[in-house]
Amino acid sequence: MNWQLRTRAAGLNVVIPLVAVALALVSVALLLVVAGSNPFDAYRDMWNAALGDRFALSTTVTKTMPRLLAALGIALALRAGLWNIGAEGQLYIGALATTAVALHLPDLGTPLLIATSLGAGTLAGAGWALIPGVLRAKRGVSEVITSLMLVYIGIQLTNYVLEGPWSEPGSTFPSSPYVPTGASLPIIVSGTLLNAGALVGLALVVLAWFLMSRSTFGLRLNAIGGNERAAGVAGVRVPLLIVLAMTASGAFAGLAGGLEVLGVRGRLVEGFSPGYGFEAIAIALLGRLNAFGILGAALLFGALDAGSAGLQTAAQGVPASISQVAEGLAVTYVLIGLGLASILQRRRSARAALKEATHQPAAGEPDVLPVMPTESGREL
Amino acid sequence: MSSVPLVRLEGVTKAYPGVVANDDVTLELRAGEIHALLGENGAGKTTLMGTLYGLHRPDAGSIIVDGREAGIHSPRDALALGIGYVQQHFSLIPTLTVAENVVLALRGSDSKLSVRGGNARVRELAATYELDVDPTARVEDLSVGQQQRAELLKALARETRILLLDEPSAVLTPQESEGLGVVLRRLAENGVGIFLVSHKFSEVLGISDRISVLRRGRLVGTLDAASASRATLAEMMVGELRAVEARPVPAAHHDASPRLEVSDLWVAAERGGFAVKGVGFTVNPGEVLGVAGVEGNGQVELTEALAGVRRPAGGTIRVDGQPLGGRSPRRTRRLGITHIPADRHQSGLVASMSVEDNLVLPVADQSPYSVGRVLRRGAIRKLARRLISEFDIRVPGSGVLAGALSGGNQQKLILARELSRRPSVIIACYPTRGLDFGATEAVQQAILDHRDEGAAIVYVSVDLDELLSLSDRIIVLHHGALQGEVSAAVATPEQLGLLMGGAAAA
Repeated sequence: MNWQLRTRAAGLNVVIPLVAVALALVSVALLLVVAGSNPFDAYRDMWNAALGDRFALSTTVTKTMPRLLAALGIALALRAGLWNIGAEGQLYIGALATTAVALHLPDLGTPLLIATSLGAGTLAGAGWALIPGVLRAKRGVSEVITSLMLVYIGIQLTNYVLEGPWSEPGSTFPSSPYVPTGASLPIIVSGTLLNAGALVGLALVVLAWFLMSRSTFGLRLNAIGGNERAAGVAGVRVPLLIVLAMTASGAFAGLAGGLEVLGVRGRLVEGFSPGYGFEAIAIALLGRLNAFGILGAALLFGALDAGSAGLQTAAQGVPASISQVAEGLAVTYVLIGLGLASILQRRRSARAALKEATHQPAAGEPDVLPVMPTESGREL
Repeated sequence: MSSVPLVRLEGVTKAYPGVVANDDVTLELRAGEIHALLGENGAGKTTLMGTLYGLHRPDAGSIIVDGREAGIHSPRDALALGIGYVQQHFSLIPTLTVAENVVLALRGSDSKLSVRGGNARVRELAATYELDVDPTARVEDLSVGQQQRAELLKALARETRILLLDEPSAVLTPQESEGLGVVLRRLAENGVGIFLVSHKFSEVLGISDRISVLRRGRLVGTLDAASASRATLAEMMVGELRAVEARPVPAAHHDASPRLEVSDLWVAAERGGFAVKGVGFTVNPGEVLGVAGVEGNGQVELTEALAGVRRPAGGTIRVDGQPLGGRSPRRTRRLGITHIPADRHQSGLVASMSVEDNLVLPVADQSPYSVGRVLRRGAIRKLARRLISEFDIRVPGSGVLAGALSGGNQQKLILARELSRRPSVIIACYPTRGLDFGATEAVQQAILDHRDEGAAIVYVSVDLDELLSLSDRIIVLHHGALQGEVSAAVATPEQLGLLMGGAAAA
């Protein structure tokens, strides 16, 4: 029974997101029909732009990375019940710090320069998330509010640096100078956009999985997320872990910003993130707070983003924003699916209990009822 | 008295996930009678009252009021039929006065009342039924007993004919309970039918006309109170008689120096003031110190301070002579203190985590359960398997979520986690609350086993019978202060009741 219960719940964690994505694509197709476009043409263009060839694939992977890293961080915090809404700001601050180090210490030599500047970005992101973490742990201030407010401060701080100290005379768009070539992440498949950042991303998926599912740290985060008070009573140092979880969460986002600068753009550009840090919240939820689930969800969002560029070039009068509609619908359907699943399960076990009432359970028979677990142990 | 009963519940069945709360219950309530519904916690009494009040729909069966099938779909329907429900948790608005609460309760009904009219009406009702409440007092300033009277006034103002009371005396001192009995009797004389839910036969025997006993959702039987004895009721409730066995006190330990010493302990209350006021006591190895008191008189705060969950405002706590001032639960655990918290859902376990993760949580950083920071699942599973069999936790596997267990098994899970560390001090707050007979006995036995091995135990309960049978000495808390200390061997429930109500120790 235990085995069945677990597999059924685990199966739902995979099936529901997949069904939700399929439904979202169907819904968008219907919208396209209503708008007078041919959905098959639109989807074919998107497919070609996202997955059609090696170059398209590398575009998708490139667009996946910042979303993936930020989402892994958000999931880590969310396991402890902490909503790090501020990944977008941590991403900007991380990018800013990475750029600053890359620009000002060009003599370090390639491997050391990349490591130092990415390290600076990671630390900066962590530091930006440390603020809401400490406020939450020491004063009980809602991390939702503080991390969100810090997004705008982070973005404006970046804008100030780009438009003030780093502004290039004659430049039309606020951006930093290009980082030295020694600081750029190498392209790992020639003729594509695929840079070494993708390898870092994959390594971090494994790291996040380990932290969340196989470490004492992850166990304690789950305990705090499930029941903060009971975790404290059981001897978990809740305030310390809240700070650590938020900091780690920000580190992921900060690194995402750094990789975007060194791997994709080569410099810091104002408004370089179209909201990766916010989309990452949806990705973390769609991936059910599981590192590999998040990898899948981030790839989907990356592909939709890359694909929407294909729509624009095909110029069929289909707005590229339909990819965002698809993203939003996918998350909505997942939440609906999870809600339905838990209602159905509750009904089913109530019915089973009623049936059992006619015959008394044998002595020693376990009195247990199925509850749908999330991988993290959190209800979402 | 007419032959048609006020209410007839016929074959009422209600199932929840994992439990059938009511199973084919058929009951009648006559006008002018006090009908006690007796049963252990979890027997289905409250569910039955909720069904009658329209809080949820029965899966099967019907409710007949005044001889007619009543479709009660919501509390609104129930109110229209003259059904009033005073729940365990009151539904009063604390910032409003008693009269304002009463007037609010009447909104939407036929009787239109202003607040000023409300004051007069409340005074009139209060006088009729000798319910001593000031209509102009704010609810938040009232004692729990007064709040209960305000709830009763609300029901009376609605001209309730069918009154449902859920564990009304749980929050009252024995003396206040007596006053309540007088009020209920007066109501019954005026033709009101009263369902009185309780799990204590001593309190229903005195004031009810008939007693129905529920066990595990089923009606065991209905007796005339006049012909019922404690023994028959107890047997109906638990299915067998529980003999309170005389147990030998392990005297050897008593010569030793105290294991736990508490002196002049002060603990701040959540809403200002102090919840524990200058309490001091000692507990020797192998001794059970019972803590009696009406719920909410500082017991939870006291135990949380001892366990390090709450920081004391003043005073000292020593374990084996070592002071433990304001340490975290993590540190107090290392000193050998273990804590069975009052509320197992809020403070005890993480319902959304598996049984094995809950068991390993306090020791996750210790070998063999982790190396470095890497969890070793094999070792954790082995620990879980051992504790599951040792504490007889009924669960199909250690990977099942803790929230899926029944209350008794959840409590055994907490005990397994807390007692497996061979603690030298056990702080147990309401450890058997809400458990059935079998689980209660298992929990008590597990704690007594540790006493026999030399642990010092602080055992908090509101059940005097439980305290008298388990403790060596009993202290009584009243408004957070130590009201008295008695030896369990010579104490009587009456004596404890007086102390709980605030009377000075003799």
